[in-house]
Amino acid sequence: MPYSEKALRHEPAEAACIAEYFQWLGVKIGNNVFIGLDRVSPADLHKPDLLHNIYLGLFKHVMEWVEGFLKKHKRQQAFDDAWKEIPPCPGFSVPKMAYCEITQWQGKEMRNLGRCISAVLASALRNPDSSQYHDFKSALKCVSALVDLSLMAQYRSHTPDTLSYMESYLQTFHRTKDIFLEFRTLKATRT
Amino acid sequence: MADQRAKEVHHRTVANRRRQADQEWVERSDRRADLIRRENHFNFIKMYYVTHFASHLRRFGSISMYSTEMGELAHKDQIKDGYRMSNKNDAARQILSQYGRQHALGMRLQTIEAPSKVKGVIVAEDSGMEMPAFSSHSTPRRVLKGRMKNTSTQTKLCATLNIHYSDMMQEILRFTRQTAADDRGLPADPTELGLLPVEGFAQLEIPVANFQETDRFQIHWARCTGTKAFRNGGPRNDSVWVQTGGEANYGDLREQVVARLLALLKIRNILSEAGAIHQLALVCILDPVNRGRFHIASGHIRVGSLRRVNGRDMRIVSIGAVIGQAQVIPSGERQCIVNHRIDLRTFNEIY
Repeated sequence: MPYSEKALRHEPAEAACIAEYFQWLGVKIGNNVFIGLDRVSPADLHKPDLLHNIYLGLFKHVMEWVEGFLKKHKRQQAFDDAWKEIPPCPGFSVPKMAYCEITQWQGKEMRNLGRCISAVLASALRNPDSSQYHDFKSALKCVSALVDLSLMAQYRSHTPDTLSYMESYLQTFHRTKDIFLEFRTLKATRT
Repeated sequence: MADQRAKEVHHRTVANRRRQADQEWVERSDRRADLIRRENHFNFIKMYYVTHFASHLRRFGSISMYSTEMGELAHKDQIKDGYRMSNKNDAARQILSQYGRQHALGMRLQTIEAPSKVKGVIVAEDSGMEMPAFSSHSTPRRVLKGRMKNTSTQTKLCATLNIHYSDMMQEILRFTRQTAADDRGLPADPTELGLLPVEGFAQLEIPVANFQETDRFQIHWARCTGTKAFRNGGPRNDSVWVQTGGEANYGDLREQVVARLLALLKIRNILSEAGAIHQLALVCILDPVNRGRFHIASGHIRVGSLRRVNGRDMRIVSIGAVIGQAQVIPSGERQCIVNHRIDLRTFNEIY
């Protein structure tokens, strides 16, 4: 059964068009396990996953950007100092190593990081001079918005208000993420 | 003379070369910035997935239900622990049955416990007898633990904890005036008050209801070791949330305030017939900076430093007013940042 007709459930003409488009892109259309199921659209199957999407996904990326940001503004030492002084708290395990010594992150450690990162970063970026003020402000805003989003995503029940808060956090994140653009390491711009 | 001229020429060329190099560097960094602007992007799949969170919540409910952390944990709980429990012969079958058994027992226990949560009693199977429910279902209470040595009178307590006796006395008197003056209260006379037996403690257990799940409690162990070391480290005097009861307005902190524990004590009023025991905490209230408003740049509430303690900010409160532990991250010599993103409860209350 060709994928383009069965699974996408499009009109044959449209399906042919899609197949052509993919061929033009150089992407092969294959069959996956969901192909034979009725009322299943593969595009709809994605389930949000806090562990891989937020903790091990976005947090990890954001931390790379934050490292670059700290390096640019020479605040690594301040960050490490603040990292060392995190006091213990119930439900939170104090990191045993300096930040730069940690090479591998578990999901649990990333969750811990998410709970303290915005405050530690705020402490590391204290007393900015006038040229740094706006950069620091939007960097902090960006990180905090992502943390807020991840925390609110853990709620067990939601109201329309919390949903609108989540959307606004996401918007803030996207609006302010531009400050970290230069720290995205991609193949094209790596020097 | 010729030598001098040669030197000048040399200087000029060096200066020229340096200028040229600087210019090149500027150009290169401009080009690089240009390249970054043009080539770098945030188009990766994980960035995009998050946009679906809200619509997913509307359609299917809480996201935590779909977290794969459970599945990842199963690598250990289900397979590794199961293998360790087996006798290593034909392990696959044993692993499967072991986890099934654990799961069935867990389900059974929950089924037995469920009715007791509703009625407060459980009916014993087959006998029809009603037994009182487990103590774990009633609301746990705050408990003082870890009695300290040399704290039997107030002078000794103050000497051990390195606090001025007069400050302490003043605060207890203030506390006495605020609470109802009846037979169960503390005497308002300083000399009588000084004679009462006290005990100092190093730890306060605070049950804090889980966020959005009020029948389960997390225990916060707030430590207050005074000048003594805690487990081979420095002394530990934790910061806690204290209910103010509307006596002052602390801005975005609302009716609670961050304070640092200085002493935990019990006083027994042996002079009155009731002989009531008062469980008190001596705290140092950390002064909110900018009247407790969120800092514009960083979006955190800041308070005065933990290190500066003076008699003016000390308060005696009943341990009932201590809500739970707070996390305060030092930021420079004079300020601290209140980390309100430490758990969901605090995050939900302070925004």
